[in-house]
Amino acid sequence: MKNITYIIIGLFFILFQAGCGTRSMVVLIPDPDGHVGQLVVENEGGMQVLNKPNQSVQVTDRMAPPGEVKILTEEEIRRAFSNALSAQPLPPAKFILYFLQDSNELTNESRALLPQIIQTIQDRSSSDIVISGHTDTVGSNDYNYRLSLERAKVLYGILLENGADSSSITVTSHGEGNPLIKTDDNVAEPRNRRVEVVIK
Amino acid sequence: MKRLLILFLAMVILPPFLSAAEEPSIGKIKTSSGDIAVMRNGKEISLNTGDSLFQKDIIRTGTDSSVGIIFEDNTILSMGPESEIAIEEYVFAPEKGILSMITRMLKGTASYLSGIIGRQSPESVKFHTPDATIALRGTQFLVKVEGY
Repeated sequence: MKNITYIIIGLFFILFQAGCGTRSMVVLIPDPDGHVGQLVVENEGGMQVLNKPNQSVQVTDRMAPPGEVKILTEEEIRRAFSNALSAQPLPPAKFILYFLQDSNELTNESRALLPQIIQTIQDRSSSDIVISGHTDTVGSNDYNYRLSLERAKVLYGILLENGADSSSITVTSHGEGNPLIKTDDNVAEPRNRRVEVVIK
Repeated sequence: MKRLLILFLAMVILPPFLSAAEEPSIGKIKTSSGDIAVMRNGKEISLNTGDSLFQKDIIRTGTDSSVGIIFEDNTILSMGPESEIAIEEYVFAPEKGILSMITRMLKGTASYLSGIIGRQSPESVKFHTPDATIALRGTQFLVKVEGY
């Protein structure tokens, strides 16, 4: 209780002293899969690095160095951010389907995933599906762009046959530009010969 | 102060739009409650779940309002009440190797979970607050900006 009084007094003090300004607080939290990344919070005054779960830093002025790094409790995080956190959409469901080399034919393992994809579209009543085609780095950029488009169109056809609405689907072709596994040019890599279906 | 800032942003943002061809959608609103609006081409437009967003949109939430957005690269941004975020630059063109997301938060609370742009090209992601710039490496974070 005493603390709150101090904070209120403090707030008034700042209000009258500074008049017009802002204060930022940044908190690093684990990703939905539990992974914790890294943040660098920087301004004219200096920088702070956050790389552990629930670390936070406050910044009060562009010219003043960011404050000390503090670990917030779950309760403190919830109190400050409950609205923003509960507004988070479900992360998109992503399926990866693999293709035979230099072909728009699905591998048997990937063909077996199709019912699950169709089910997920129905479960979410999704009207926002993105199909992206990809290749490995064997062949020219132009050739691979066309090949990955062919692969994406195969999935587009399958989803349409199974009741998805064409207006809900976006088809994109990434060619060899967005590999799952980074390789040198002209490397045959089965894991890059793929179509990703993202259901949002 | 705020009006001036918006006026300034509008002057900077408007000219390219007057000549621009149709811009691609950069993401969609997936959850919304209360009043959600964007400043787009100098006009305030109210938005609902399912609506598209575009580069240079300034997204605002009202009292007791919140919004959740999924961008084309699967970046997930959600905002609490009385919040304001400008999407200053968003380019997701992996086939051309061009990736960029520059966001400026003016006030309120937000949660940001990076997507493909953050994973493939972390140096192309910048999140500005009035006092600092946040650079990230594949991660989720929360930001609060309050006036005093």
